[in-house]
Amino acid sequence: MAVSNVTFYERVEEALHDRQLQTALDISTTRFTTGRQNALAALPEAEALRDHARRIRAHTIAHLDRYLAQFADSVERVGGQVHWAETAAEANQIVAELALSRNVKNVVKSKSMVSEELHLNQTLEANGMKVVETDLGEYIAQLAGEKPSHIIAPVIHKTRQDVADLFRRKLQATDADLADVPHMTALARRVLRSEFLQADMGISGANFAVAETGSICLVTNEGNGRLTTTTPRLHVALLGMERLVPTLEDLGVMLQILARSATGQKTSVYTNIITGPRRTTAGQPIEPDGPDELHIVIIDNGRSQILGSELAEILYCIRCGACLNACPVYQQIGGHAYNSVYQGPVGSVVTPGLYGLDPWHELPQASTLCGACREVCPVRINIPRMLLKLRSETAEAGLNPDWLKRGLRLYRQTVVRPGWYHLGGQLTSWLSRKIADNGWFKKLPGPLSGWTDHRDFLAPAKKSFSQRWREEREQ
Amino acid sequence: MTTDIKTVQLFVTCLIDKFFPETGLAVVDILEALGLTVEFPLAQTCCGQPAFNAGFWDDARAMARYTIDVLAQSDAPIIIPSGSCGDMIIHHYVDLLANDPHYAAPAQAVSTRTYEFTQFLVDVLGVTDLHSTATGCVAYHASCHGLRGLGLKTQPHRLLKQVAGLEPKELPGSEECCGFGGLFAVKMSQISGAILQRKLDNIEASGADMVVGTDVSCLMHIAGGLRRRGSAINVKHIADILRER
Amino acid sequence: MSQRAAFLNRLRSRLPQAKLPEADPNHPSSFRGYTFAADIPPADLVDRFTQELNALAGQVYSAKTSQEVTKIIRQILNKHGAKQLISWGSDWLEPRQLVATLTAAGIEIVDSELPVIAADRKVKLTALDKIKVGLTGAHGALADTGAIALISGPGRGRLASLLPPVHIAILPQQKLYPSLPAFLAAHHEATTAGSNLVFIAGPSRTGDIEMTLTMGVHGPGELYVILTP
Repeated sequence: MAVSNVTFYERVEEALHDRQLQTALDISTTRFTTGRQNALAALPEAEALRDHARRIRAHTIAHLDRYLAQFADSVERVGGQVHWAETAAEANQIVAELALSRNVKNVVKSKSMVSEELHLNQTLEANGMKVVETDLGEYIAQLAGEKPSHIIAPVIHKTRQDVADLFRRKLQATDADLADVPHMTALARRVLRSEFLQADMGISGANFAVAETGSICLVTNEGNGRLTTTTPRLHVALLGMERLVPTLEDLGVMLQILARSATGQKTSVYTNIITGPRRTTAGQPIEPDGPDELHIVIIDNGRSQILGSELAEILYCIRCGACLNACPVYQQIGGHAYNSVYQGPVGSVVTPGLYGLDPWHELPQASTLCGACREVCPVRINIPRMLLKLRSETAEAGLNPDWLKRGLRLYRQTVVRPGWYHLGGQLTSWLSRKIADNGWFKKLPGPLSGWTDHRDFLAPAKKSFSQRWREEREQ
Repeated sequence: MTTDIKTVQLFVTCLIDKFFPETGLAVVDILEALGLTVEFPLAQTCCGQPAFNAGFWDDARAMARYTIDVLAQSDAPIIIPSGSCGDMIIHHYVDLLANDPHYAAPAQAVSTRTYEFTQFLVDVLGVTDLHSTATGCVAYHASCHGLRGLGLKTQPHRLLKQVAGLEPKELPGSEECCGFGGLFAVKMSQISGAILQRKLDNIEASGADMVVGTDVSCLMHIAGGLRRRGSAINVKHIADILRER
Repeated sequence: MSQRAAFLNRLRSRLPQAKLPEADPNHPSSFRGYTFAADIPPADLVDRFTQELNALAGQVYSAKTSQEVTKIIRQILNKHGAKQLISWGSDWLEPRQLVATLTAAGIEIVDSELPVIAADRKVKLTALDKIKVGLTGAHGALADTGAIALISGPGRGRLASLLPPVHIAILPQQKLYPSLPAFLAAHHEATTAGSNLVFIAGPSRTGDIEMTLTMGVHGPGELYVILTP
């Protein structure tokens, strides 16, 4: 994965000073978190469903080999073709070869996070194809040459004015086209509709895949997921290998909590369940429409590394985005600061899991360990546990700054020696009370200045509790 | 009092020890007023959470073993006036030392007799009315590790409700993180500071003249932020309030 | 070794090191705790469905005869100045006597079968894109969310509920289910009868620009459900 030269800290700084982004984050995360809360509160069985969904996901991942084999058999039984890709390069090659061999010129895509991981668009464009994102938010991001900044709401960082300017530049939009959001949306619909009609290949992701039936399930509100998988004669679905559920009934469980957790909707507008390509008899289609070919590319791309580790629980994730919205850090810095397809708490586990800690070791540090992510996760993934695990691997790999390593070494030696500990405490207290202003510091030196950049620091008490206890009680 | 507990030992936490000794004395005062004998093992230091959260697990293990040795001197229940350090000793010690042949069992034993202060009062002793009095409007900030790690949800509210003369104010986003996060507050101070500003806005909007919590770490961070703003709002550990009679 | 075997073997080699909390060797079987929608009395299913679909900006009509159905369809077509429909096929229309009544009302049902040849397919799609109204049946509807369920198959295309800006669905009242899990439990053919099962809960919508709710971004912007006996 491409890594920019801009550091995490620089991106954070930029995000924190972007007023527009701050307003957008406030509005969106508040709306999503309250929406989620209300939707689940209105469902009496919500907690039991979450427990059950967790059991389904845990069981599935623990038997992923078996369920993937069953899924592939089921797909082939209904006339679909299954491809297996260990790496991003292999996945890109599979899709590019499919497209080239079928003379594909125009490709429409519905939202797929896996494809972002693969950088598939670049591959196809390099092969002379036109690739158009069709989710409105993703389309806007594509026009702007940006990456999505939220799992569910890709361009929450943009105002309508930004989008209007973009449409004027890229789509030659008129004032009438840009009168209000519905008009802008109508313009995008017209432009994208002609892409759908001319498309040779539709590429989708999948929210879930069902082992027993060979179905894939795509949920969208806009309907682009349905058009992408209906109008072109060729449908390619990219499937992260962990997205399985064993049965259709299990899918029903997941669907009861997915939209509620993601946006607070009881259901997404379209729950699109695809089982094989357009049905045929004796080579002749018996269904009026739908793609004539369905190819499902099952993608590993680092997931098996995660599977064989203490981070395997993150594969239970159903990509609802609830942990992003609930995270106090995400609420401040938004998605772009993470510089990864997967953002927020889940991204801080998945990204280093997929690509290694170097250079992604800052992400697991970008957490207060408040546990809000675990609390809202529909399948109760213990994200803080894995952030801590990644921090410990970071420490073992020596990736922390020197001041921290030195500081912790000193601290450890002190803590297990009460003599040093108390003497050190008294010295610090004495010294700091000499220089503190009314018992507080406005400025601390070195790395500790981070604290006083934002708040005053209290000087230690003149006498510690231990001293007072000793003096008052142990006489 | 409905239990047969006569003696408790106090693990005061390093921050209360060095920065808030009065809070430690308040805890002792409250426990003694309930007829308990309070032991204070003088060899205690820090639970090791900063090292654990920073990923320095070998160091954290060394500190955990040290603290377990200190606390194992007595069989008395261990009272900790901090949800965060409580969570460390109750949950993380057990995980950290699970494969340690000498310390796995002691870690488990210490874990099962360790209680956060308000949890001990309400859930173990069944006490909510300490005949405390105070004046002013109080907002409660729920620190994350106590809330989500130990399930400290209703206990502090029940205790505060019984304090005569105290008017509880609702703190918007009371259960949202204040942005402290230990070393995070220094390492990623700009994010920590941004989260803190929202907390401070909510505190100021609540109409309270006092913020109360169960963790001095978060409270130190909040107090430093309020002071930087020039705010007159007081910040107190719950024991400081409950002690006043 | 095949790609598949290599892929699956890699997983098998990793699984023993996987830390998977609460993973049970047995499938957790069925969820038995559905109460929310399961408790809706059958008599209230229509009301509840109507309420939910209305909340999503979909409209619900009632009609007793094919004449009444046709009258409603005509009203909707008139509103859009349209005389043509994309529809599910005659196998579905005929038993409902809709071919005769629609034709009598001057409404043309346009053939919407997509050719296999790529170029022809695009030409056909471009022509169909001009049609303003799509007409379908439904295999069920969900009272708890206001969604209707459509299973594709011979004569039951996806385009009629997708391509035109207006979608009209005719639904016999007895096909109301409390919830999606209840529908799935009753329709084991849902994924075998055709290549597509879709649940549609109201008109297409987006909130991607400043979270401003806008209807009809890709799919139909208007959805009408006509309930029949």
